[in-house]
Amino acid sequence: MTADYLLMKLPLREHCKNMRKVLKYAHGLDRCYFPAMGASLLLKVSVPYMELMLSAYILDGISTHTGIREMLTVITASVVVIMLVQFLSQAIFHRMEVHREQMYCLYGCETQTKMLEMDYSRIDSPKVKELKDRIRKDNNWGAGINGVFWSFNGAMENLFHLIGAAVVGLPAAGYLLRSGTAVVWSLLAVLMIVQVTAVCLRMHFRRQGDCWRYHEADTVEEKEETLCFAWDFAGQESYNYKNGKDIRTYGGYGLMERWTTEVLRHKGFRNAMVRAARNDAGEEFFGAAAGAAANGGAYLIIVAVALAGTITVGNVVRLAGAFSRFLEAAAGTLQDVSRLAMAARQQMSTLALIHMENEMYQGRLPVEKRSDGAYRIAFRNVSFKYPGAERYALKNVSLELVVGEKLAIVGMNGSGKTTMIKLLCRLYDPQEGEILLNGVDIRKYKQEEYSRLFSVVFQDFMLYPFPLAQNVAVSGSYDSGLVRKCLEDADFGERLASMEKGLETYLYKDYEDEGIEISGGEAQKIAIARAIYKEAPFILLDEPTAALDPLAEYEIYSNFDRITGTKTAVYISHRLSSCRFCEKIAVFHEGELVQLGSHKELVADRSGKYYELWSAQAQYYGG
Amino acid sequence: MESQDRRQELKHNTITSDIRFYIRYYKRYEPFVLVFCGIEIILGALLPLFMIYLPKIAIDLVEQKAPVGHSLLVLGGFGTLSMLVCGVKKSVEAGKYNLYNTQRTNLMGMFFLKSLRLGYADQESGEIKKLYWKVYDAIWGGDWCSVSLMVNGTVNLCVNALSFLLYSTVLAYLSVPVFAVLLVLALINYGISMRHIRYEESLREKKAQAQKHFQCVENAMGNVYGAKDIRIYGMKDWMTGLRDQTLRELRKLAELSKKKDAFYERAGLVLSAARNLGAYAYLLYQTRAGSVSVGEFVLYFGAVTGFSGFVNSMMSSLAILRGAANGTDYIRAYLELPEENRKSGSRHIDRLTLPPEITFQHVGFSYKNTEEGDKTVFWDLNLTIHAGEKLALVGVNGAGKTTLVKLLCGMYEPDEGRILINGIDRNEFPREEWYQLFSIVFQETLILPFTVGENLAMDRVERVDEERAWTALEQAGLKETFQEQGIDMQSYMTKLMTEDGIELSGGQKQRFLLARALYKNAPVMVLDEPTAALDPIAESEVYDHYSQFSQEKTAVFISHRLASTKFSDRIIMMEDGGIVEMGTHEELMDAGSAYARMFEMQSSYYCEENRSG
Repeated sequence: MTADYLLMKLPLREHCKNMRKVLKYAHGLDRCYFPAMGASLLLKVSVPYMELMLSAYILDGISTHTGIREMLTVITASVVVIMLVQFLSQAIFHRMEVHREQMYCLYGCETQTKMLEMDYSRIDSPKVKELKDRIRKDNNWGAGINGVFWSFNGAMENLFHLIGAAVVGLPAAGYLLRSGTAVVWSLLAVLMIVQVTAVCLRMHFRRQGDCWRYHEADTVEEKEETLCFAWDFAGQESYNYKNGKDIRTYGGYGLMERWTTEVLRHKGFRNAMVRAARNDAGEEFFGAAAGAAANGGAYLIIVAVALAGTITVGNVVRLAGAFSRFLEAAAGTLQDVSRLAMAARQQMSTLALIHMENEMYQGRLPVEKRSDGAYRIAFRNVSFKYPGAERYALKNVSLELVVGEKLAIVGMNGSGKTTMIKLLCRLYDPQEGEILLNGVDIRKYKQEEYSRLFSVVFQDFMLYPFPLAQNVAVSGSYDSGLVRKCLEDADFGERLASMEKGLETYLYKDYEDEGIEISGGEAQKIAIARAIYKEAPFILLDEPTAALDPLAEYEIYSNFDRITGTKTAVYISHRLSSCRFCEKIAVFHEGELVQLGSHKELVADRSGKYYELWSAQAQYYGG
Repeated sequence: MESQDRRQELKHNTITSDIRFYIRYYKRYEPFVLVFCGIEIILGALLPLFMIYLPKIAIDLVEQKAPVGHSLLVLGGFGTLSMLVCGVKKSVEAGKYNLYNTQRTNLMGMFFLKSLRLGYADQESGEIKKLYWKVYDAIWGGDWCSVSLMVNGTVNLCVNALSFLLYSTVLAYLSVPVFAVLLVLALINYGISMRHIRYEESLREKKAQAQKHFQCVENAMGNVYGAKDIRIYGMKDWMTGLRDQTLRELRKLAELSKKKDAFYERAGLVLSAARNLGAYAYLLYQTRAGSVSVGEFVLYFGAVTGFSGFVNSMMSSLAILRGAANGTDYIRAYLELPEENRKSGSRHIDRLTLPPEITFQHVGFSYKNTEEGDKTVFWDLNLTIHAGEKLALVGVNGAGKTTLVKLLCGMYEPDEGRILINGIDRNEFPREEWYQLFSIVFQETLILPFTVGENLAMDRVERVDEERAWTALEQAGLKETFQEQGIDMQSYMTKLMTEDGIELSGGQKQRFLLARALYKNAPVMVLDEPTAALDPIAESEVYDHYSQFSQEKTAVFISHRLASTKFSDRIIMMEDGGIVEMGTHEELMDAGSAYARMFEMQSSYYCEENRSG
């Protein structure tokens, strides 16, 4: 990845492409937003010009002694019209604000929604990680998609101003040409020079500011000088109040201080901060000065014209007002477009993720529905490496899952047990070999239907802060009786009975303050209930008792047959005693299937891996 | 505990008191913020005057047919001055923005460090934890957090109040009755704005709730750890359904709020149309009467329009301050929480004979304010851990093992009874020194994004003893792995600092934390489920080494794997907050009660095999 990615020069064509892309996407989210906003802005922009014309009319009326009654009629009519235009403009605007907020939320969670449907194998892939990292960096500054809305709306508004000012101020051009003295022309030249210089200087400081903002510290030295973990520790990923125990007993306070408040006093950090302040101050100074110069300059020139020739007071106000607005809008347009370009560029990573296509082959074969659960699955010489990894996680594995059989998988950490489960549910496709369901490569089946065959409790299963019943049924609508029964089968019945809101109880406190905290063991039971509720013909359990105490573990073991029933079951555990529930045991070592057989057969082989694992644990119980 | 009683009455400070809090804070950490704010207020108040005087001066010059040179001089000078004022105001504002935000980071750091200076029981207690997250939100959240809103809101309020006064002077010159009418209009406007603000405030809680719900679903969808479950169980429809439901919730609230926005804004527009109409008519008559010049007409009209603008802005600044003050109250309340006294104590641990003997004498302890009210764990716990003894703590989940450990190491204080070390009450020692007595491996794993050395020593890099660190890694069985991968003490852990940062597997993490405990080499060693993530071989390795690295230490071992009890001098079997059995493995097995049943349950499958094989 290149450092300072957002600072690299981009040809204009690319910028245009980015802007078109992001605007098109935003427009696709809500087709009425941009047209309606355009109308609202057009109405809004017309107001100051109407007011300007009204002022000019009044001032001229005063000088020409127009009848007061006539003037009051015109004034009243104008004020009412202006008010009505404002009514209309703001009515549309407020309605569109609701739309914008919705779009903001919807767009904001598009990347998360994408996680629901992306190939599992890609979620953890270096490419997606890099993209997510990019998205995080791109959204470090700026207002995300709101930045696009705001700068685009700003550009529209300024463009309307240009038109409005041109229409209202066009007569000025005539006056200028007719009675433009040398003084007037030279004033105009000076004003233009001032304007252009100010805009250039402003752009310069903006660029400098960007260099600071979008600079990505990439050397460790630089990071040590400038990376402050205050935000991270206080509340983001790295935070957990439970860590307070370690920090207290190990006396880590000084270390935490060094990486939070102390970094801010480092020379590197202070310099960077002062530089940032200076750049922003420069940008703002010249921006504001250009605006004031446009205003003052416009009056200066129009007054000079007025003094040289004949021009009414009303026209002085009207033309100076239009002229200064024109200059401001020109600078404003430039700025909004450049902001839009940057905002659009910052969205490219998000769009790239949203538009990322799945690569896994999608079969179309339906999975035959069988009430007898007679599905046979076979691994044929399967080899697999994780994306970006060099080492094989599984090597040349051949294995058959016989209908109704209970299979245990054992092995050391990193021997490929969990990987085998992941391949079995087709979270990944193997690089070599194939996995067959009833003799047909599983890739040829519809993924959705194939997934229905499995109930899995992963080691790192996930429960969500939504109602208990929804967690079990993974749906907003469910069969309460069945959910209750599944929870009871998973030995959660007692706790359920103690819950005031029963199945409607929210888990954790993230969504609902009234939610309940559950222990690791309880969570495991709920996850098991979820697996039971699914009623899939295959049930796969990966270390389902790790968080349980011996009694609870025993309960689960005893219920094991009841939970799995006649289903085909695969069971992974570090506690080899649990394998004895299974007819067959597969021993994995360094990605290979090294032994397969019943406990009796395997333990008899004194030189085998199984014996080694078994005796490592059994020696302590030999008493 | 006492801190909870205090919490119920969270002080609601006045807005001025909150503003004074920030003045004190910035005076201490970045006085330039205050200087910049001051300049911004003065220039910001002057700026609108330039805007209304410019047209007046221009018209006057044209009306008086002033000489060109003179006109250019006046207008040019005036224009240049306004340019400077405008530019300086904006650049000062930008400077202020950068500086106050840097100090906002500092405030976040201070707040985090403060949480570590509290007693752990306080940090963990429900009320203070809730307060913690409120404070976090008040500092986090960029331009919309309480700190930013308070700083900017205060400046804006001052700018507008000052402008209001300046314009009042200009208008009072025109006519006192007119000024009075405008003041009345401003008051009406004030009334309307207040209603609007109150309505917004009534929605705030609901909006925050809806926002929280939406974010919660967003996080659930985006959490990659759940991606497997999402696919296998086909949760996509469930999740997107919840997403749409929360979006609807947000939409409903936005519609309510925007409808009111539009309504109140319309009222304001009607008011200003009436005001404009009145001003035009009045000024028109005045000009006709000759008491107001054309130039003054423009000036006064500008002043009339601007005047109510300031009232509006003042109101919205005030509304912002009212909303933000809450957050600031949270910040102040948290920073004022009483801290754990770690320094004072009349005795010192270096005078003790080590390893120590630790005694729990009639210890009672309960968790306060949990979901089910107060939850008593211990009523009357008596236990002596002898010097150099290896103790095993067993029992089902919830029996109180981990609570016992937290009491032991000083995370909790007993409600009743005492904890003694070599017969002396532990509270006679500075808490800081008490902490030094323990090397603990807790269940949760904490790996900081710093170097290996810093993680092992939990201290600044310059204080890491490398040799000791390598020994500790070796004892924990990680040295070889680290050396193979070319990892040294300066290598960073996690990917935060460098892209090739070290990421450990679950089992490696447990070994690493064991190494950290060994590095500390404290006289009391406590291991809470240190092998849960290890495979059988690694587990038995840890067991083998245990007796070696717990030599000449008082040690406590907690595990669900009862095998670990075999190499302990004594086993404590806990149940519902009490000790039900105590003795060596053999004694307890002979007694044949709870422990024996538990052990047999776990070992039956292994033993059976041993008997038959």
